[in-house]
Amino acid sequence: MRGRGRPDPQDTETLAESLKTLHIAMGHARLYGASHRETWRAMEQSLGQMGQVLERYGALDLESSQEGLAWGGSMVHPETEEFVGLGRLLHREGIATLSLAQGLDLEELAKLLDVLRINFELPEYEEETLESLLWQSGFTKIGFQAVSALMEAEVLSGAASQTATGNLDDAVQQLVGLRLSDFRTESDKRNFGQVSEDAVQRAVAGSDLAGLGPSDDRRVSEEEQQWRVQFAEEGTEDAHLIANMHEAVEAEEPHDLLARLVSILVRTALSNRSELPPDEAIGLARQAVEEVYRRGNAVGLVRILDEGTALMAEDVVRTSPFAGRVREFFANAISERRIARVLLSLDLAKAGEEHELRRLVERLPDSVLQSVLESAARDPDQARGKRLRETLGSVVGDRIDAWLTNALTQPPERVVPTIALARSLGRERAASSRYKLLRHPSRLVREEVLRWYQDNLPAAELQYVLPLLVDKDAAVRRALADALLAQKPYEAVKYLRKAVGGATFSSLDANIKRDLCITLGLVAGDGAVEVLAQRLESKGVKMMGTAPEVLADVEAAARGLAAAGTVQAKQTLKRGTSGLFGPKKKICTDALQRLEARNPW
Amino acid sequence: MVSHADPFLSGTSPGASSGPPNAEEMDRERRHQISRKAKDFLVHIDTLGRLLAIHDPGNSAVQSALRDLVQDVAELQAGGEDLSLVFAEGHAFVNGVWVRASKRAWEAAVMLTERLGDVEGRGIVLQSGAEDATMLALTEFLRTSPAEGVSGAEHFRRANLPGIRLIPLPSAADRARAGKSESRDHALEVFREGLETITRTELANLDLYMRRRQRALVQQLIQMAEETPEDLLGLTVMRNPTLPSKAHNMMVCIYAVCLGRLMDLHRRDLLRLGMSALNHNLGETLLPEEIFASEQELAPHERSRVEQHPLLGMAHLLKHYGFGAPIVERALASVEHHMRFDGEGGYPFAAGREQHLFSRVIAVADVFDALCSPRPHRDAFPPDQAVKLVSRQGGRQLDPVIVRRLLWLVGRYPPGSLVELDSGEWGLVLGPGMGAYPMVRPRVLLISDEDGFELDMPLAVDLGERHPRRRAWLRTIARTRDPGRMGVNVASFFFGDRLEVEPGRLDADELEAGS
Repeated sequence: MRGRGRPDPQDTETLAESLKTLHIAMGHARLYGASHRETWRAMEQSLGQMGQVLERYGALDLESSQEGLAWGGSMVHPETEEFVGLGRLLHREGIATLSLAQGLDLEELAKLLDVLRINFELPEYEEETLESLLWQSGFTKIGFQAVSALMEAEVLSGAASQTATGNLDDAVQQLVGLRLSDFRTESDKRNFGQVSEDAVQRAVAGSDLAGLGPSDDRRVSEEEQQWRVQFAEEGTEDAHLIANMHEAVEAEEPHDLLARLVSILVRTALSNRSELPPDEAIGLARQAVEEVYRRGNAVGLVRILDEGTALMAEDVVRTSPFAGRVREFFANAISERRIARVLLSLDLAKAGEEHELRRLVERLPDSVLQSVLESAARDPDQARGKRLRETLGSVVGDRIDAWLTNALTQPPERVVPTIALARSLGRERAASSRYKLLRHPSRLVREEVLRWYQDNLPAAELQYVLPLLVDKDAAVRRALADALLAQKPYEAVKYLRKAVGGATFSSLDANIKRDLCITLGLVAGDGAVEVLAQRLESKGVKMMGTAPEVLADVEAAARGLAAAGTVQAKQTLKRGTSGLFGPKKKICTDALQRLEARNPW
Repeated sequence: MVSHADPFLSGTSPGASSGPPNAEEMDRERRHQISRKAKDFLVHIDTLGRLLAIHDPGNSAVQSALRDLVQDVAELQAGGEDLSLVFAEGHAFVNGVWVRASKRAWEAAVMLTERLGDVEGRGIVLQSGAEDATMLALTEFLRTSPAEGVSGAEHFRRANLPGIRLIPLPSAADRARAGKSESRDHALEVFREGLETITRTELANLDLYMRRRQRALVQQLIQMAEETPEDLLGLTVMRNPTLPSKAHNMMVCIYAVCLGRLMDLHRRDLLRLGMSALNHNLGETLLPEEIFASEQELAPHERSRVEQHPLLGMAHLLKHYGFGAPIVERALASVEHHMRFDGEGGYPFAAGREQHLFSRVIAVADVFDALCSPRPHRDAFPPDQAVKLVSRQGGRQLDPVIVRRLLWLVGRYPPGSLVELDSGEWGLVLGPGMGAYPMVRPRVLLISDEDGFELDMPLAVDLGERHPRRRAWLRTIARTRDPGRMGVNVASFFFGDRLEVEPGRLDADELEAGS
């Protein structure tokens, strides 16, 4: 291993490359976090190169300055005003040297990048500094040398604007003052054993009289034995309790503290203390909840709602004159819009968050949940929205059935995601009453229900479904066509044939007629050709003066045949192209093209 | 049915601009202003110096730059206070504010660091009301080096700058003192600085500068707990009515940090705990001082006022410093540190839940230190008696697990206990021993010989030491005494010179051999 002399130019170059890659890792860590695979990849590459140098030198002392990072007097990562890197950052934060030792691993490097990321995010007024963050991390292979003069300078400059503190030094000096015995003669020396009897009496009266007896093992006093036993046992007894406490504190998040705080503030309000009156206490609790929302923290909300539930069950609530205020506070703490945002921000892939989500969802009122569902449906990140919907669905269960029962008067933005969720969950009870929603004024709802019928279409519900073949909205008619195509119920074919062949067909809107015929063609195939052919050969078609509605019948029939797509349908259309009447020929030619292209709509 | 009106959207938040600014915001604004103006100052003094190198003082450009500079100083001294500028390693600090300089200001700071270094200074203090002539003279002074053979101090004196004081570089003696990092002197230095910090810290007005100083103090205490725990715990003997009452906060912080270490808390959590401990009594600073100065037992109405301090402290922190995690943590420590572990007592708002771990630790440290400290209406309990009293409160007022940790920390005879040995010698307990029963057989500083005469040089011995030939221990505690009543100045023995004696035959060695 080489000493710490001037480094080899080749090694300097390798280190420079490594630092360049480390800066890429820093950038990734800042954007995606230190554990992201991109960050990890860059770190691996950087550490690989750095490892070679570390192996040769044992340790690297990187000196920070405005110019960048230097190693052994050579600049290994030059920086400028425009390109601020680790060198400038460390220098700015008063870290003179960063030392990396052999054995540095990815875990520790990731921890360093995390510390730097946190430092970037610290607002200027935060009391934490990079130095204190590095210190707290307790690195084993990374060291740093803070510029101690900085702290001293900060203290000095601050002291000038402070008032004097009096004779503190004197008091300390007096406490630890030079012991007089150093200057006394032998005869002046104090004899502790010859203090006045009074002094002894006073001292004894205010002290522990037990005494521990002579210095023989066999005659050790009873008290010492007791204490020995106590000290011997406690270590093992408390070990697991302490480990739990330790873990709890380590895992503690700001929202845990905020939830605890809310609880105390609310209880303070209930107990009506003069030093913090109920109004003020509730006001502070509200700000604490605001902070939880600001942090977008679902777990914090769960904790607060847990507190609320527990508190409401206590006697103190029933007896306090401020119970109403507290109840109102907890009710208002559940803000629909903001909870939806919080839930959407959850990382469900993270262990534990799904559990918290379930707990939160269980506590939320229906209106909030439906609002959340609505937001999830609109989430631009489709995968995340889907995950959230699935999770919500698995938690809400029976509550969906009730929502759908009352959905007729609900806005479509709320009902549609609920239907989608009920469908994806295969809720049978909800399915049995979905036909009622076909009367919903919004086409979006009707459409969504019809999509649900693609999964199964009981014969008993056809009476509610089929009338939508003449729905005023094309999308609804098409959704129904898709459902009928998926299930192909015989009753529907019969119904369609009757509708297309019936006397009232001609009086329908042209678009509805077309969609009826297409649906018939799609669902019945060859079974539709006969009735459609009759419409195609309509007697009302004349060389001169054909009524527009008759032409519309012909076009609808031709489109129906194209949708049927069978050989028989094709032949029928071909026949239509050979006639003398131009418009009909054109209609049939277009329909044939559609048939070939399998483009019924 | 949940109301659609959302009070959280329309209500005031800590950061909302509708309400009056809180202390945190005001401090931030002050620092921002100082930082901005200080950068201007640095640039302008640099500009003026450069202009003076090529122009006469009467030149219009010089005069313009001078006006800018004087204006900067006037704005920085807006509150009528002196302006303190200290430079280190090219960094600039102005009245306790670390100025994160831009490139131009940075260059100026580097220049000033060097120039002041030439005259053996690290900063200057400008008294309020600096005039144009003074600022011009200062700038001139900063751009000229001392003549050959003239010391920096002399050069400064000759410059005759009224209203300007030079802050000198640390002397060799200062540096030597700062270098004693692992000695008891260092511990004492930390204690003195710590006391100064918490005394200067107007707890109810914790600006960033003070919080940083507090943080640095706690960091130092943790470092000591890791490296020289006996010295750190030894600081707790520094109890005296002559010390400011806030010294109690520091003692509680020391115990809390040590307890946290015994519980294997990480540095990050120890720092959180230490900061909470240092500020746990913030609410007391909001009460009239007369209450605490009373030499009598508190009257019922005074007691009820004092009992308000936990909630007052919490409310003050939240109202003025917002709801960031560090503040909430301290607010919780403030409100919970007097709550009873068993949920009994006069804190109805505490019912139904366990205190935070930090609050439980602080509660134990608080009670123990309060018992060991003299109060205007009573003497201090001797430490060994205090530990017994605290141990009886485990499971009642205090968390039994933490109480047992305290016993493990200080032992049956806490540091500073005055003991009379069966040999006739008197001693002061230093800390746990190294033998088989460290908690009941501690390390002791012998202060008298067998006849009771004070030793010239106290002697540190371990009570786990056996007689060289017999099975008996060399020394055993026969009884404890009250150092206060016996007139023993514990601190002077702890931090004076001593002789360390390596124990010959420890009982622990025999146990090992036996096993």
